[in-house]
Amino acid sequence: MDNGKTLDYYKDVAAKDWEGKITRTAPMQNFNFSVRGGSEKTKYSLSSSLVNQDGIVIKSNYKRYQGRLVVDHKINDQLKVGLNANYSHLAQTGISPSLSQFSSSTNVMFSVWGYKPLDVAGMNLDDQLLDPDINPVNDYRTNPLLNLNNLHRLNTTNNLIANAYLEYNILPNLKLRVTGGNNTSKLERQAINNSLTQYGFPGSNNGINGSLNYAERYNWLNENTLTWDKKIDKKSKINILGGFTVQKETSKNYGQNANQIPADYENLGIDGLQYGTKLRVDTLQSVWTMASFLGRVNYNYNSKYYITASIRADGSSKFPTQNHWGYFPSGALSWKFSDEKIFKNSKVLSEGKIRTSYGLTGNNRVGDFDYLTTYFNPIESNYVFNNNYVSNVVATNLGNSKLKWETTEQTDLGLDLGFFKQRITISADIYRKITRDLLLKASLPQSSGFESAIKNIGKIQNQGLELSLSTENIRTKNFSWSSSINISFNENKVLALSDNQDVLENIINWDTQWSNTTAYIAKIGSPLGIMYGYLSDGTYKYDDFDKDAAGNYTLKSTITSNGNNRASIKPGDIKYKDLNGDLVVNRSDYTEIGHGLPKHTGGFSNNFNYKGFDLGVLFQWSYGNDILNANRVVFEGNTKNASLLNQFATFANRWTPENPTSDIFRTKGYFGGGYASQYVEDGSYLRLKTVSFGYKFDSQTLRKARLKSVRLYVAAQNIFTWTNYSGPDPEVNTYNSALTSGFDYSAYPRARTVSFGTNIVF
Amino acid sequence: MKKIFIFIITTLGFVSCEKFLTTEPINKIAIQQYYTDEQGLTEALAGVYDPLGRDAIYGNRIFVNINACTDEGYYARSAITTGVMVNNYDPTNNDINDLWQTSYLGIYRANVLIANIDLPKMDDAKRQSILGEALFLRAYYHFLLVSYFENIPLILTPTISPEDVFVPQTATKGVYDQILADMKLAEQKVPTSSAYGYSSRISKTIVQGILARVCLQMAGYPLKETSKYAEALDWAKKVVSSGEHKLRTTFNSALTNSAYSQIFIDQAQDLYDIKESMWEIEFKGTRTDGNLETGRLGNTNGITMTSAALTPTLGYSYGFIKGTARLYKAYKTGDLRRDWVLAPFTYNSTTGAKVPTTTTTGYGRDCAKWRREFELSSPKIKNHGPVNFPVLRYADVLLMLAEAENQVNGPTALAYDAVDQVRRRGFGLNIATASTVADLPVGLTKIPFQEAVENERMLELCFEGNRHLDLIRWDKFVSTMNSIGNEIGVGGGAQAYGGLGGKNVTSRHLVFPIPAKEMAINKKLVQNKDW
Repeated sequence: MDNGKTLDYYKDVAAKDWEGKITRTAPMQNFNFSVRGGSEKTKYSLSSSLVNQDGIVIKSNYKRYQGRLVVDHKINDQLKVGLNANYSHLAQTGISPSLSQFSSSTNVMFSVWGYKPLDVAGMNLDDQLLDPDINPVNDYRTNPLLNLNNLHRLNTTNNLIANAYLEYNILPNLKLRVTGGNNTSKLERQAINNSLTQYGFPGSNNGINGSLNYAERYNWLNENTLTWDKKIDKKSKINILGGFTVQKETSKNYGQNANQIPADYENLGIDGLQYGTKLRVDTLQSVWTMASFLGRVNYNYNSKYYITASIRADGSSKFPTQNHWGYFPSGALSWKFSDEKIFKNSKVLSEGKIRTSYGLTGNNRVGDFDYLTTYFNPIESNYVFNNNYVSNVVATNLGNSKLKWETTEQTDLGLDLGFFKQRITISADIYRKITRDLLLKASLPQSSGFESAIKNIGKIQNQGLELSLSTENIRTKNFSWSSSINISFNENKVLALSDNQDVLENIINWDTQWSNTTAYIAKIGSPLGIMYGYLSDGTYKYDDFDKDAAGNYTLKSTITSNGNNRASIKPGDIKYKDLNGDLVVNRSDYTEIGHGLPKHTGGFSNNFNYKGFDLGVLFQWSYGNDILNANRVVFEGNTKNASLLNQFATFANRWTPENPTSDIFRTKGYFGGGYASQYVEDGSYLRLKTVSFGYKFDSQTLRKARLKSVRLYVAAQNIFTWTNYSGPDPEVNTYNSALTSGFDYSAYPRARTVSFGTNIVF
Repeated sequence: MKKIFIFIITTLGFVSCEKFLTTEPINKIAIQQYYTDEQGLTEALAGVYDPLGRDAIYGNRIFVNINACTDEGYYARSAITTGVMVNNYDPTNNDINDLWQTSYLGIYRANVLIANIDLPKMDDAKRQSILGEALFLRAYYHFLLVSYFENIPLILTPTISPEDVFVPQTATKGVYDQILADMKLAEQKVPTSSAYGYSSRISKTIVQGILARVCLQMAGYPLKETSKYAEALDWAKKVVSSGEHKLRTTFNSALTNSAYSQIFIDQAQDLYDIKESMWEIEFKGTRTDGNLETGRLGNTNGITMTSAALTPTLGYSYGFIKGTARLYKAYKTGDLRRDWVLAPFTYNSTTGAKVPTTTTTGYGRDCAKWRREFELSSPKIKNHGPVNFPVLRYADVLLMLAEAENQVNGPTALAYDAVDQVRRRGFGLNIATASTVADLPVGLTKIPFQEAVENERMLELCFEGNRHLDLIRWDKFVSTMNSIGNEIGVGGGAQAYGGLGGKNVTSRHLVFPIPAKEMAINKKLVQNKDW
């Protein structure tokens, strides 16, 4: 201890609250302006908006300026044209707090929780980027305040969307509509890591470094439809639509990166890049196209029976030639039985409708050329012959020549009921959704030479029930109260996996030490999102050991190991359940340790109005889902063996010779090999999501001021949460994919926002 | 009429749509665009060599983590109680996974090159020589895998689709047979070391030397195919009789005092000695120009030097590996190798002055075989350097020859001469002149001679990444590791923690577990015994 200070001395020293230092109450401004007008032949509207929102982590900000012009012009009774143009400019600063795939200690929250909270040896740690006691080579903890204040990140996007259309009534019933549109965007990314940042401090590998990169995208779309509308007789109507669309997008990425920028130039921002060592930046260009044919028939008899049938054929360049096209038919029927004679005069039933539908939809969200193997010369694959760098040629991804459309088949049966002139409405839906040829990045055996490839990996079924009930509880002249509750039950099941596999294991790449450990498993017949690992069994207690004369503890031969060498296991070490009884814990003892998907989710809202005042209260919940809290893997037991790493307060109750009954393993008593069930927590929650309160001025008063309406309001979000989850936010889903739900590592804190506003309509 | 019109539009639409949907990549991505000529094929070959130099293999972890814990040395961090470095790991271990992954990356790239060897238009003799290198490298990556993991998937064709990638294991013997076949074919195709003039590409004698190593590994645990000693002897003799190689006997007296140390200084200075240092994994530069062809020899396993101020001149070193007292004491008086491989000094952390180590217990001395002070780049960067890693030295070939000759014919003059040449050079003596100081005692019988060779391999080749596999093939891994672990634990004093890794060894450590990630994905694999 410094200057003869004892451990007890530090009990009275105020610890630095890094989380408090890097977060803030963040103001947000939002302005909207719009004008509408025109003549009988020409209508226009012009609108613009400005959003300026600070993030709750310091130095993060989001600004958006946007303007839109819409013009419709009727040339004559047969011909109409129009234009819709939208321009926006976005500027975003600050860094993403999660999702590093390199080392978990590069994450912001790792430093926030892990950086030393006390000053050392007369040094004020507020001014020190690196804790002098920590080796910066494999521990990337830095002073989170200095780091965040010095990182420069600016992403600017300019986006222009312009669409024009022409509508021509060929015959009274036959209409041709042609649209053409384009969407151009350019994203500029600036990043500077100066000498006071985690990535650029003196002695770091790259020194002061920075980059300026551009991503450009150009997309055009042409749609052509013919619509035939016909009243067959008094009671029945038919509407037929046919058409085709074509679309093309090109994209380009380029830029420059530089390392080792001399310190003299670090304050020049991106202008300083030219003084550093330039790195090779590979220019990437790509293209995709899409074409579709569509047809649809709507038939309606007496506004009571509706029939719809449609088919679309979608062609996508992202699949190999033989799989370009996917065909997606659908149909729907509905019957408004409340219009039948027997209900027509009912005072109870005001609306009744049965709906059913069936249809296929497609998904082509894969890379533009994922079906081809790509060869390239990435700089890291060079080699050296005779003291000269030799460029290389290697395959950088494995193409899948069998890639095809993912198809979802959905069947739905629904019932809508309204009672007492719609004061009570009920809606119920049951559905079954089967997704075939699910497109996912699938892990490959490393013996193939690749880590992963895009594959159609199998067949998944979702089925469920959605219920909603809305009631107007009180409706008087001055006061009204309405409520609405909805609940969704979804059951999810894997029906088939590719390559005749029964199971598919998934790894979450949140840290190098965990980059080989299965976290989730998908099994035929079971739901997705099953967490997979060891069942925790507390800790080894003294009774589990034989004690020899010298005082050494040897694990009894009848007690299972935890995967570690038996001789190395000590009292207080972590213990797992040995499921197969071979007295060794290894991957054959893996089992289901949690379910990432909820049994049901829902919302409950109430709205009250009294004269000009209005109050809205919304609750939201999720029940029956687990969360794998990886924050605790690092901060409750220091499983990374990082030196001098803060731990969560829960670790204070760990096993020690004085506390030999604790089920929390001792310091350095961890042995891995799988995720332990002790890190899986119930993620159920009930959250008071929104409360809003407003006042709308009386229209009589406003008329004098030539205003149509004025409303003042205050609204708060994420106000309170009831949950047993120990992490910061149960509504979390980091590293999310269809197969891996409910994983939490270094999630961005969820903002509790309070907003004040006015709506003024002229 | 209208319907026909729509029909025609639709049909025309479909036809022209196909054309519209057939997009060509804008970037150059097809193999035919790259494999055009000799240069293209040479670049493909560079991609096959590249994994050898990655951190997971000879860039760092073979000589630091995987071979950290032997009777030569131990991992010098008392806080490290799990990991390959202390023989306490599970199948999710990164070092094990990455050795697997990186080796298979090399195999895949070799297979692509071999399968497309006829694509480029080029001189056929050069084509055959590149084919030979690729065949050898494919075999060498398999050799790395089979010697650490035993039963492994044997992959001889390039992966062309993400289906059918679940390859089952081939038994150890079958993998070795293929390795021998590939290497023998390669031996016929590749040029000589002197034709290259540098040590980073595969020559005929490199193939022969590695074949000797492969045969010795087959002759020992686990295959114990003792007939392979004779074959190892043949290959080692071919290297000797080629006349391409000899032991280094000269040195730059301004830099050092022995020919032995000059070998490792040359490796730090981008100098080649193709006669002694037969095959090197080549590194270059400091990474600041974006090239990543650097290694960590001397950085992770060098003489501890952690001053930020002195890093640009002396080079940063963690000193992760310290030698054992057993190694220190095994050098006889006059053996110049001892004070080169084990640091006779420490750096003063503020001045950088060399402070002589006066204790003679042998404990606490850093591995000093590669010393960053000799690197030519300035300023030196913290974690990366250009020091080449020697995979095969002529001294190793001589010791393999002696071992194989002794196994086949007993301790003959040939066997004695091979060991004595190495020893005399170690003492700084004329390698051709008998020496009572340096030479092995005369009259050893077969088993003592074998033990003398085992000892000599430690003295000569320590920290060069061979010891772990040598101990395994001699079937001495568990006993030697337990014994050195206890020895350090009892006698190590402040270094007693270094015994942990040795004490942790049990019979399951004779083979690495198949990585957990691979087991999770490829259900056709069977985990190794006791894992």
